[in-house]
Order: sequence, then C-alpha cells, then structure tokens
Amino acid sequence: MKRREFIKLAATTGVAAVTGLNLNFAQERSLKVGVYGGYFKDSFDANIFPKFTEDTGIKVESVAEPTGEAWIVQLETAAKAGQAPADVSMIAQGSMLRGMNSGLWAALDESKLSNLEFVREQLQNKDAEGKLIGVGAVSWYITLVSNTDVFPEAPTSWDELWKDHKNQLGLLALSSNSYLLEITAKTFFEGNATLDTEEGLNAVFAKLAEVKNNVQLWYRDEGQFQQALQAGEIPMGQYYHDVTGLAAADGFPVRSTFPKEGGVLDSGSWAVSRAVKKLDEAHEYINWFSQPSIQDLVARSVGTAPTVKREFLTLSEDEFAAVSSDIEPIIPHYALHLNRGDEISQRWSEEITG
Amino acid sequence: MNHPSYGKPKNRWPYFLLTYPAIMILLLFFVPLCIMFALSFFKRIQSAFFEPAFVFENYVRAFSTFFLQRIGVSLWVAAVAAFICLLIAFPFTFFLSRLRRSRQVPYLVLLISILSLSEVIIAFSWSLLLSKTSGISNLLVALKLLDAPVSWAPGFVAMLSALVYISLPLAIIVLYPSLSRLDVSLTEAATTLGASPIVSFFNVVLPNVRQALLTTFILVFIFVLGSYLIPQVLGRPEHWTLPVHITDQALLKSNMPLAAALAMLLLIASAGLSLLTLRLGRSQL
Amino acid sequence: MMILKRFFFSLVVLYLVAPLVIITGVSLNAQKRLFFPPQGLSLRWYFEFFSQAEWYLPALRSLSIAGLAALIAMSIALPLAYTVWRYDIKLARMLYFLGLAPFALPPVITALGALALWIVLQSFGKPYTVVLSHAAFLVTLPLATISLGLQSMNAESIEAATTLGADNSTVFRTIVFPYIRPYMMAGFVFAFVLSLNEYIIAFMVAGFTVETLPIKIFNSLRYGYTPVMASVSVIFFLLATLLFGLIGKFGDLPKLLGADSSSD
Repeated sequence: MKRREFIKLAATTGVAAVTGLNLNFAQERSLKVGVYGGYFKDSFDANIFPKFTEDTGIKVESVAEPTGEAWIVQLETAAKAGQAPADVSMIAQGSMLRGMNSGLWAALDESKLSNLEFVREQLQNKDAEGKLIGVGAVSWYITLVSNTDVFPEAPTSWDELWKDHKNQLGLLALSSNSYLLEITAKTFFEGNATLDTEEGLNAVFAKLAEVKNNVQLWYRDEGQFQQALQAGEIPMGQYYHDVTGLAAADGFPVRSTFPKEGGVLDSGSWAVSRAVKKLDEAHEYINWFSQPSIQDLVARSVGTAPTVKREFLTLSEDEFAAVSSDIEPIIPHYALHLNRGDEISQRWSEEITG
Repeated sequence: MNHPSYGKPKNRWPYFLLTYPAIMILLLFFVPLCIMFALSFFKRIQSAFFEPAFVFENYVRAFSTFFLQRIGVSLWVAAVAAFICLLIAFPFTFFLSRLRRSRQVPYLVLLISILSLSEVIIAFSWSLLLSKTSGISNLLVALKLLDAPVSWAPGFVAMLSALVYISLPLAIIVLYPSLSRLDVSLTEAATTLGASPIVSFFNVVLPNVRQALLTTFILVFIFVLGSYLIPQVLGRPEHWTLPVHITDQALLKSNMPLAAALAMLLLIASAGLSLLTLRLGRSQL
Repeated sequence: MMILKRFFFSLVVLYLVAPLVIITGVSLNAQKRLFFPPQGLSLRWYFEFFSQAEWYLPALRSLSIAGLAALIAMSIALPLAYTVWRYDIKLARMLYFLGLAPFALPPVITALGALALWIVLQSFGKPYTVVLSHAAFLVTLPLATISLGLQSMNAESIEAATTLGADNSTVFRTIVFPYIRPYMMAGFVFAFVLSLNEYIIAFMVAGFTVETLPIKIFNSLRYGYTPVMASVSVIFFLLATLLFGLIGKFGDLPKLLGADSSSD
C-alpha cells in the first residue's frame, strides 16, 4: 500500500469514528432508556417505546442493560465521571438499595408525577430521608420452567429440583440473582426468617447443596439457558416467567409453572442517575409509564406483572393470571444479599456451584 | 543485529524522539498498574462501593482458600492447555515449515485469521459445535456412529478443546521462525550416519529448538491464563479461571479493591512463572 | 511415515476449520434458529447485519476504534523501535520492555488497570478511552514487527551511505523507512485486526456505554442466540482473511513472520 493510500485510509477511518460515534445524538427531544436486553428489550422496542413517542413526541433510544448488578456498577462509575449511559434505567430492588447507599440516584420530584398515586406503595422507592428515588416499573417472577417435549406433565413444586433429574437442570449461577436460598428456605423450612439465624442459614446451604448433581448448567447469561431449554438439552430449571411465555408464544416447546410454594417475585423500578441532565424528559417518561392504561399494555405485550394497584387495571382475570399468580410469592431477602453479600456469595461458590 | 553505528547518542535528538513514546507508554500502561496497586489497599464498602484507605483486608481475602484454589485451577488449566497445544503445534509447525513457501502462505493466512478472531466468536462457535442442535454429534448421527445427538458442553473437555483451539495458532506462529530456520541437513546427516529418525530428532532437532519451545510454552500459558470468556461459556463454575472472578468482582460485585488485589496476584504469578521458566531453560542449555 | 504425517497435518487443519464450517452453516439458516446443517438456505442474516443499526453501528464504531488505535500504536512504536535499534540508551530499552509487556501479561490485568486509570481521570465511558487503551495494549505488535524489520536490514548499505556522508535523517528517509514499510504495514494490520476483535479491555473500559462489536456479540450471546451473531462472525473472519491474504499476496508473509529470507 502506498503512503498516500494509507493516509487516505486513516482519514476515512477517522471520519467514520466521528460520524459513527455521533449518529447517536439526535436533534429532537430524546431519552435514553435502559431495559434488560433480549426478548424483554425487543418487546419494549416493538410495543412500548413507539407508543411513548406517539404520545409525547420524545424519541426513545433503548439501551440493553445486563441483568444483575453490572449495570449499576457502570452507572456509578460513569456518574463519577459525570456521564450517564442511560437517562432512565430499570433497576431491580437489590440494586436500588446498593445505589441508594452510594448516593447514585437523583431525587425525583413528586409534583411532576401525577400518576404516582396508582403505583403500589411498596414499589415507590424512598431513600433514608424519605425522598422518592425510584418508581415501580414492572414486576416479574422467576418460576419453574420445563421443556414440554421432555416433560409432558408440568412439575408442581420447587422440590422437583431435588428429585431424580441428574444433569437435567439449569439454574442461575449467582446467589444474588437466583434467590435459590430463599426458594430452599420456603420449600423446606420457615421461609426467609430461617436465613436470619446461623443454624438456619447452614441448614439451607446444606439442603441446597443436594441439588448439585442434578445441575447441568449454572448459567450466568440467560441466552445460554434459554437456547438449551428450547432445544431440550437442559429440560428443566428456573427462569423468568415472562420471557418463557414469550418464547412459548413463538412456538418453542417450553412452559413456565408457578410452583405451589410460589414464584420468586422481583420488581424493577425506574431510576435516574445523579449525572442525568434530561430530568424533565425522565419525569415525563416515568409519569407516562405509571398510567394504568400503559401498565395494561405492558402486561399484555411484555408479559410482566403490573406495578399499579389491581383496581385501576382493565386486565381480565385470564390476562392477570397469565402474568401473575394468586399463590403468595417468595420475596428475595434483599438485606441478606446487601449486607452479607461477600460472605454469602463466597460460601455459595464454595458449597453450591463449586 | 543492531545499527552499524549503534552507540551512545551524540546529541539530544534521540531523547526528543523518545518523549512521545515515553509519555504514552508510561501514562497508558505503567501508571494504570500503579493505580491498580494502590487500589488493592482501598477499603471495600459492602453495601455500596469503595473508599480510599490503606488496609490489607483485600489481600487477606485474596489469600483465602477459595481464591487460592481458583488460582490453582487457573494455573492447572493453563498448564494442561499449553502442554496439549505444544504437543500439536510442534510437529504441525515442523511439517508446515518444510512445505514450499508459496504453499505455506494459505495456511499462515488461515492461522493468523483465527488468531485474530475474538474470544467471543470462538466461544460462541465452540458452544455451537458441541451443542445438541447444531453440533458435530449431528454429523456422527448422520454417519451412523451415534444414535442420537448429544450435548458436550459445558465441561472440562469442552473448555479445554476451545482453549487449545484459540492458542494453537499463537503457538504455531511463535514456533514458526525458529523451526523454519532449522537446518534439516542436520537431521539428514544424522540419519545417513545411521541414527533412526526418532533418535536424530531427540539428539539433533530438540536441542536446537528447546529455547523456542519454552518461550512458546510460556506465551501460550499466559495467553490461556488470561482467557475470560471460554471458561465462562464452556466450563462449569469450578473451572472458572481467575480472570472470570476478577471481572466479576470489578463489574458485578463492585468490589474494585478485591479485583485489584487478585489482579496483583495474577500479575505476580504470571511474571514469576515466566522468569522462572526462562531461567530454568537457560541453565539447561 | 509419510501417510501418518499427511493424516496428522489434515487432522489439525480440520480441527482449525471445523468451528468455522459450523458457524458458516448456522449463519445460512432460513429461520431464526441455530441449526446445523442449516434448515433452508438464506442470506437474510447477512442483510440483517448491514441493515440494522443495532448491528452496523457497533461495527462502524469498532472499525473506527481499531483504525485510530492501530495508528496511535504505530506512532508510538516507530520512534521507539528506531531509537532502541540505533542508540545505546537505557531509557529506550526500558520503554521497549514495557512496550512488549502487555502481551506477556493476561489481558485482564491491562484491562483492570485501564479501568482504574479512566476512573481516576474521570473519563470513564468516553469513546476515546477505548482507543487509547487499545493503542497502549497493541503497541507490542508494531513494535515487534518494526524491530524485526530493522534487525533484518542489510547493514552494509547503511554503512556505505554513512561513509558517503549521508546524515541520520537522510539514511532514515532513503534507506530505513522504505525497507521497514512492509513491516510497519504488517504491524498496523495486526494491531487493527486485534483491536477489532478485542473484548475484555473494551468491556472493562467502556462496558455498555461504548458498545463495540465484540461486546455486542457477547451481549446477544447473553440474551438469546440469533443467527446474526454467526453471520457477523463469518464477516469478521473473512475480513481478517482478506487483509492478511493481501499481505500474503503482495508481501512475503513467511518472512514477515520471521522465517529466514533465503530459501524459495
């Protein structure tokens, strides 16, 4: 290659750098919204964000968030540099608390959120001073999932995981996102209270260690398990109720079952990093999302459970049953993972996945 | 071979030339390592992030049985992979370097192209290769060697196959210069003098390439030691190497101080082993 | 013996090619399924890559980052390699050693260091951080190829020029530079292709804020597999083959990789 051509190549690449990186900055009012990637984000992109743009004229650029805590670590690191990878993010409850402790979240202005009254009280996240820092967006269940080709009969209880299913299970790999300790405590002991005493915790760990031989895949990333579940390679495990429903609707031989002990209920709240500049748009978005009619739309199209009180919704009994369940759910023991997280996750690696 | 008039500079011009590389390398490579070293003494706040301090608790945790075992696993996996890799790469490179130059080129292009492939892509293609739906077991079923397709991942063998795969091109490329410069007439002479090919290989070829083999082993060893995605996608949790845990601590658990302490251990382990092996190699020559 | 040799050689080549065959097959599936052999042939996943912003934007981003990073790496390597070769300076040798070090360490260390640096400099998440960190990491490649070129140069021609009274810069311009140009090109291409495929440093330094193509591929690996990932992988492999193939066609690849210059 001649030197001149080389310089030309370099110049073109440079231009591409500028344009390629600048393509993201739109001229009109816009908002970057972080939601979990995959099926979840796809259905938000297809059904929810276009409606918001239609209603308000604000364009949405969706950002694929990783599940687990990686996202708030990024938000926090970016906020230290005055950057915000997304203006509004969907944040799970455990991460809401961690972000609150480090002062990551911007306080929201309740006067700009007229629809806040519809949102269930416990999903209006408040910081220590009582300021609003998050508003419930969606709730989701982790349930018992199975491949319908391999298991014609749906399992009915979490204790199925302990039965004779050698190398057939796919379970979430981290203590802080699988909530298997809580599941074990609810299925075989007295529930989360058991996890508060040392003997209880030891007993739960010992019981959970019994499933080890049944597990074929401890998955970190959903795609890994979903692929294997759909193909029947790993025919049973724990997974998200909503995504499984979407996959089943796509024609895959999978089903999600609420065990009799209940599914694990977690929720995502909309939260705004302190580095975010587009506060007006962010409030407008959160307020728009809290309308009962939008919550109906989300439940119908994304398959998650609404965060608005039931009486405001127009969902039929069947529609509500499809995204939720009357069985009392298992609630993650957030305080345990937050305050003793290092110790729990190390024990977890040693005794459960190791 | 150095410049014919290699020597001490006569004016300041060379130092001026060095300013820019010095600034860039120090700022972008050396300073970060120093910051990381400092970070490894910071205090972790469990329910939030971390704050500046001078504490040893990160090293205490890094030296716990759990992480020492992880280091052990990482070193073991890297050693096994590097050994297998060399076992394949050495004869292969030898044969390759005996081909006509023009015939070597396509193989070299293939090797460098694979070498440059992202670990992401390789992990992905191996997870497909070993899966039930799209894996080679389907081929074996078609050839009637197997009754039904099976899944071979995740597992130790799956992980090892991909690790050897990703490091094989590196080993070949590193071995290539010394093997292609190796004078075959030596072996031929030995063989004509009545030595069997195997004897002449051990007596003539091996001593000439021992240093190259050692260097390659270390490079591959470190290369595998650094792999992050393959153990995570193709291995089971007990095979997750230290880089997986370092990244988890830094990005998932927001525990930068522990991640930094673990990275320092990895740094010492890999630097120490390289130096030790190099020294051993030299003393035997 | 000969047959055994052939068999072994082919077996290794098969091992090297097998994943590429699978991934190419999967990329041709007509449906959004990852079957091998593919069910129904279609190029739609290649079109998808070129038509969907979520795929071609990260690709453009990666290409620009790789181009800039390789240029910067080259700009650092050239003066350093030259000074080490030409002058007896301790600092130069030390820098040379540091320049080679990133490849002698597991990349996760470089990555974590880079993350720490950009946090301290309060620049986390800015696109240029990936460019600079990649440049520092990849400096090793042009440094190694340029040094290889310099060392393989014919000393007599330089000596002759110097005795004829040519000064350093003239020697550099007329003899050294033209000679090492192919080595520079090779170094550039190596750095470019490696940056294009680099995952962990980009991920640590900018994570989800600057989504490069390897990060995008890994993210789709996390959220559910799609055949686009396979088509992207094929495109990237072909791109690398094309670049290195050009070097192989117009340059002396065996020599660039350190084989002796003599035979054949």
